[in-house]
Amino acid sequence: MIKQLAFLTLLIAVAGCSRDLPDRVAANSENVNNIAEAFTGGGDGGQAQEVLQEPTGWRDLRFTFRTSGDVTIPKLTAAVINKDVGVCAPGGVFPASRKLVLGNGNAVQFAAVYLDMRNFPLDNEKWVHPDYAADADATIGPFDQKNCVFLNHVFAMRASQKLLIKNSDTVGHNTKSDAAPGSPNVQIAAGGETLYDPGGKAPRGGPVSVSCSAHPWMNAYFLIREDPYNGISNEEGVVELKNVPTGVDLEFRIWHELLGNVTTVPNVEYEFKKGKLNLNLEPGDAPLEINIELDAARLQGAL
Amino acid sequence: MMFKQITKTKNNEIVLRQQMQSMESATRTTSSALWCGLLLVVLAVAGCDGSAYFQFNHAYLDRQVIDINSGRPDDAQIEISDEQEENVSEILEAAFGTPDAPKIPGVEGAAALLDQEFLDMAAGPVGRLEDGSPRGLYRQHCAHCHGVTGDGMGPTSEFLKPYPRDYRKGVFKFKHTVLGAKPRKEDLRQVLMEGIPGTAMPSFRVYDSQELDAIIDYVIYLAIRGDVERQLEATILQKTADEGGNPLLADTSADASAEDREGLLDAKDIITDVVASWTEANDSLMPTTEPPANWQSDENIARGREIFLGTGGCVACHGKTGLGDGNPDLFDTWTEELVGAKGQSTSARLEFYDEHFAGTGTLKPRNQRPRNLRLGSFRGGRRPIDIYSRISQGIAGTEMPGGKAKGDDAWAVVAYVLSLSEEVISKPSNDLDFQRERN
Repeated sequence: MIKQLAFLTLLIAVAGCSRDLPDRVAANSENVNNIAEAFTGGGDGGQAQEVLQEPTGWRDLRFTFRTSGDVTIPKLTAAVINKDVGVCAPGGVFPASRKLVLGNGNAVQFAAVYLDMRNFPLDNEKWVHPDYAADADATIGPFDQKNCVFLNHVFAMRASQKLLIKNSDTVGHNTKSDAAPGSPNVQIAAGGETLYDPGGKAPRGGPVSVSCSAHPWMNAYFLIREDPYNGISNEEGVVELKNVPTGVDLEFRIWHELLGNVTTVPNVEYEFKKGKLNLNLEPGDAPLEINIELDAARLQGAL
Repeated sequence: MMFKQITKTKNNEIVLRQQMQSMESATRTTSSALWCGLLLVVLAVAGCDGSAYFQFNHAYLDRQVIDINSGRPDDAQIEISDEQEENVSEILEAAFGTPDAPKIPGVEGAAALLDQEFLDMAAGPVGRLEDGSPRGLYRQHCAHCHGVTGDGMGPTSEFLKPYPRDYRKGVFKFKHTVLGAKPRKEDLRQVLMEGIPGTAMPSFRVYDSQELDAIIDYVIYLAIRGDVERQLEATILQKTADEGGNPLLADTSADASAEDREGLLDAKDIITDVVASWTEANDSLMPTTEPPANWQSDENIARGREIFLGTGGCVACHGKTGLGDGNPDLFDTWTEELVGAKGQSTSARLEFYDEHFAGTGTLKPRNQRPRNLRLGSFRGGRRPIDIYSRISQGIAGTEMPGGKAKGDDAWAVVAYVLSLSEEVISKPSNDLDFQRERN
């Protein structure tokens, strides 16, 4: 009897009864059969076919980001910056959080705007202005780090470009991003640099996180897109997109680290649909101005 | 109720059944028969239905929900409904089948990458066909640690250190492709042949070559399925955040319109991309250079030491002496999804787990331990080229970066790392014998 008891004890231990397991999520077999054809090769499962529109010309877009009021940005503390303090908090001065960077007049720096359309016709010169070909495979940057801060908190690039990553610090850093194409994780010695090549691939979704394993409070984002219609707001809170195709339906994402995708904006006359800003531009010489006001209370709450 | 938990997963059930079969044949006494009978009753009461199923990836979905909701006001918090989870499961099953009847998804490159016969050999319950060919190899050899779903949460997983690999991120640590690329089948074969020293992963070199091929294909199949599942979850979550309510990825009902099924195109795109990332592995072999002459000379070892302590940045994690005591506050990429965000104290990051994931079936987080290089035991292999691969490319899924040294410098670091276990200080001390004699 003792042996059996010992066996049962072992059985319970091996079977893992100390871990609760979530309930099964069962698939309805009829529904599975209804869509199986879509995954058997060749079949489309009865999905709709898209019809390509014909752009009529080009126009510039100019987004300006501001907060709706004042926001207090906290400083990092000694509990967070607990390593290489002489470099990362020089003179004992701890840097402010980079989750929100404000310029003059509550201008929001490092907000992102990018085109987010399924099957965007990248190779169609009526959709992508020829001027963009010049730097399609250029090496851009630098994406630099100084005093244990990624100077460009959000950095936009095209998947066909390469990025020069620098380390202007006197301590080593590594630049790591699991979600970026190629999952870069590169050690960069003090004063060193390296080249990042996404290999023509862009991650699904928007900006992907970049970090330094040696200094875990360091965080930034890469926005990597196949098309050129994207940008990051500067010190004035401005993103300019040049030569955007007119006369066609365009869907833009607006993103900020603290808010994620911005799906509604007060006092903007353009339509947000399914979380995206829908635009169909008319030709014009002057840039179309779009002012985006981010809710100060939400920003403060997320800090 | 305790026994109901025991039988919640198929792999648990297999363990129970195997144990029961061995008990039946081994016991003839009345008391043993009664005991078996009791267990049978327990299993029956516990609702053992005999069908294996893939476990839904709740943890990944829940983490994304938490992250999205943290930036939203109380009146805009999102939730994923049971119907949405079922919708994801239906699309996955339509594309990949079930653990008993796996399917190769009908997207470009998949049929060339995976062999249906191999999948059939590895999947399903353990047994043999009339011609003697095996079935259920994965459940026989792998599932007790890696789980039926390949989630690294088989019945024995929580007792192992390190935990078994969760395939569902599609990330594998030990390979000879560039960082970020998938492993080649040869890389997975090497792991099966050699095992992983210092872990519970044994060598399977005694098994038939074709059986290993079958297991490799099935592991890749599980990795692809798991990766697709994560991306479908991310997609339905984004849709929920964008549109409000609880939208489906695609309407799977019989009378759905073409427009209502547009989401299947996204699903197919996701599967195509994931499959492509695996088919590209063969073209992603890491660049190597031949080791220079006398690369293990004292001078070269000294050069390696200089890089190790200096520009290589190795001491940050491995410590100045290579004992792996440089930075204990790291988590690998699998664990990162369960703990609080970087930039907080380790205790705060673990409190996040306790608050959100304790008791949800996930494995309790453990920190990532940088390797003690003085043991002379290397999980990815002890061959110089294996060490070179770790130094030049890093280790996928961990904080170990690549690019610490290149060319001859990288070989110098290899020489230094390999020399550490040979240093006198790394050997057992004679003083121990002396002390034993005294005692």
